[in-house]
Amino acid sequence: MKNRTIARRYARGLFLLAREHDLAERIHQDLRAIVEALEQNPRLRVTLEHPQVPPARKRQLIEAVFGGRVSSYALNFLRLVVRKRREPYLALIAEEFGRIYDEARGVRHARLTSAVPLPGELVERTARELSRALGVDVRVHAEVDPDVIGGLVVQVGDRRIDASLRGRLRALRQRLAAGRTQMGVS
Amino acid sequence: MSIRPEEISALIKQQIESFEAGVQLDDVGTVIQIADGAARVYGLESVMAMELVQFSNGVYGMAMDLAEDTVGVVILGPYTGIKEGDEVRRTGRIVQVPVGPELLGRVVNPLGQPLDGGPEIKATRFRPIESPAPGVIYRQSVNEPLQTGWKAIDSMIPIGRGQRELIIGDRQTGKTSLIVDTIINQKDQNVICIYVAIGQKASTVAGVVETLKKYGAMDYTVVVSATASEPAPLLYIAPYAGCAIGEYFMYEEHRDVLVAYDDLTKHAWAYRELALLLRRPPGREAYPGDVFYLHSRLLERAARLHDELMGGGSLTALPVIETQAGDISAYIPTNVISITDGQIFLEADLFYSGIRPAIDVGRSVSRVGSSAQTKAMKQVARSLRLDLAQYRELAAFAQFGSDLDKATQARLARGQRVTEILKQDERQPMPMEEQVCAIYLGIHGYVDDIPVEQVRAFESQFLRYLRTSRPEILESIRSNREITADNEEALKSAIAEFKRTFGGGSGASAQAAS
Repeated sequence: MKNRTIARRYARGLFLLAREHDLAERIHQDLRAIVEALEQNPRLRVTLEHPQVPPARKRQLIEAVFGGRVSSYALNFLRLVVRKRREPYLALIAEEFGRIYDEARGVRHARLTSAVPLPGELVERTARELSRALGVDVRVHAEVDPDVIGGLVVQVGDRRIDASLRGRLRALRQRLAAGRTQMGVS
Repeated sequence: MSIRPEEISALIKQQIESFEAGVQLDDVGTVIQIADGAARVYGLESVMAMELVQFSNGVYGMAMDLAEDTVGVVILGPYTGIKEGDEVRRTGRIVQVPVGPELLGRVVNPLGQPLDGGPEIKATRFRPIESPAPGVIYRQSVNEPLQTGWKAIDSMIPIGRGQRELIIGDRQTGKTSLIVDTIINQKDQNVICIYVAIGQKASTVAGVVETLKKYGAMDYTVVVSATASEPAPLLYIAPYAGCAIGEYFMYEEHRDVLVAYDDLTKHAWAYRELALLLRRPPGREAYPGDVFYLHSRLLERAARLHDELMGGGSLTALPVIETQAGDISAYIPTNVISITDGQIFLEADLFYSGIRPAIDVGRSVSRVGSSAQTKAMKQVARSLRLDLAQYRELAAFAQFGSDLDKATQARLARGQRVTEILKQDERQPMPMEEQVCAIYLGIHGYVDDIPVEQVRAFESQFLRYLRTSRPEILESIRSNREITADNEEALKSAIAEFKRTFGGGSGASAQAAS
């Protein structure tokens, strides 16, 4: 299990720098591009994370791949990560950066799951309603999962709003099985 | 009673028809690691400490470790069906137990579910298993005795209502027996008893319940049982659950309650297991650092509530600790000794030499109970202690030679006889007034001329004689709660009277023996 505390520290440091220079959005995009590049090129990721590749080689590699494509701060950050041998944490750092950035600009992400693809207009309306209810800017990411059967499941952070057929069937099953619940507390 | 399948189908159909599940709002997290009864859960950011959470297969867990990103959950049931990636749902409820008079006479698990095959417990009230102990001003000092029915305890190690008295000793020295008899003796004493079995064999618990039923003690008793086969978290919450059930009777009904925790050694083991699974740093004997607090916060909940401020009521705690080879200086025994208001030390050597209850009088103390002792008992207990102390001092020397002066021999004889009088069989609890009369016999030398092996027979026959021929003496001691000049005279004359009859029989047999 990778330690989120480490990722959080790097992300916070980078974010403070980004905010100071008003580059938060740019660096956010850079980080996402870097993580995407690593995901799409497993060989690049393996090389970067490999403990036997000397840091100097990794640095050359980074500069060759990302030089000119990402901001200089993002590149410097990559150099630092390589020097500190924290390459495996890059994805987590990017995730934590996104979280810190979202919190700073008042954005929350919601996952909207339905059994069939939803019309864009409905997704937008859900986003508007959620934003109004939560008082922050909610970005909705729609997903399709046939297991939902019908209705919607919205998840914002830990909170899940289940208005799906699957959830109703589950509740019905629990109701019918009540009386022989296991370790059940009333 | 027969149930027809079509009736069940109709019932289910009706349930489905009327079923309205609206939108469900849940807080959910994800299992990221699961091993041996403890899970790490990602998410659940707003979960409370000791909150119940539910895994997707229906098993409940208890949130114990609230870390920055994850929550450590201990699982209150079979954990083999839980996988990494499973969903965990908050219930919003702190672990709690049903409380109230509905529980009397029942055997329940630490979550308040029946284990005796009886009907579901329809309690309307619940209490969280953890609750703060009453503060200083809500208490008053212990002033009423809790009669155990054991001569040796009620006279020399008296227990008051609201006290915490530890029962400590090796295995098989009569710890549980002592408690069972104490519970039996509370009949008609207006005391509610709660017996918490932690990590015991299920057969032992069944035996205890059977005995309590046989003596009519289940009417005022609740048995909370977490046997050795239950997962560690249930063992861990058992004493707190038992205490919460007792607290209801103390706070709400202002009754006197006796809670026995049998035993806290296994409770500490269960907590050690949890702490190690949750990766808390191990300390001495691999117990976590807060193992002292584990027991101190439980035993602090014992109290004698203030009559005016709180309306009275008390909760007496009788924790049990099992030692290994008489080692009372191990970690857990010393902890609990320092928390309680005294200890009753049971010793294997005494047990096997026939001194039962096997109480080591020298090492047993009650730090507060003497203020709750009746005057009558105090009058006899003082010289009892002295007699026994002198006897113990001499007994070691006396083993070397037989050339002892008269005074020493007299003291030895007295000590042997007093020791005989303090012996008592199981399931024979004795009321206070009879105890006083029996001890009176010993300390005033009325049995000095009776052969040691006949002292117990003499005592029991004398008490029978008192009950049948001179009940007014017992009644007088019971109502006055002290030995007055009048009833002492009557007692002396009764003893003289009885000795004439007993002396004839024993004299003849003594002669025959010689």
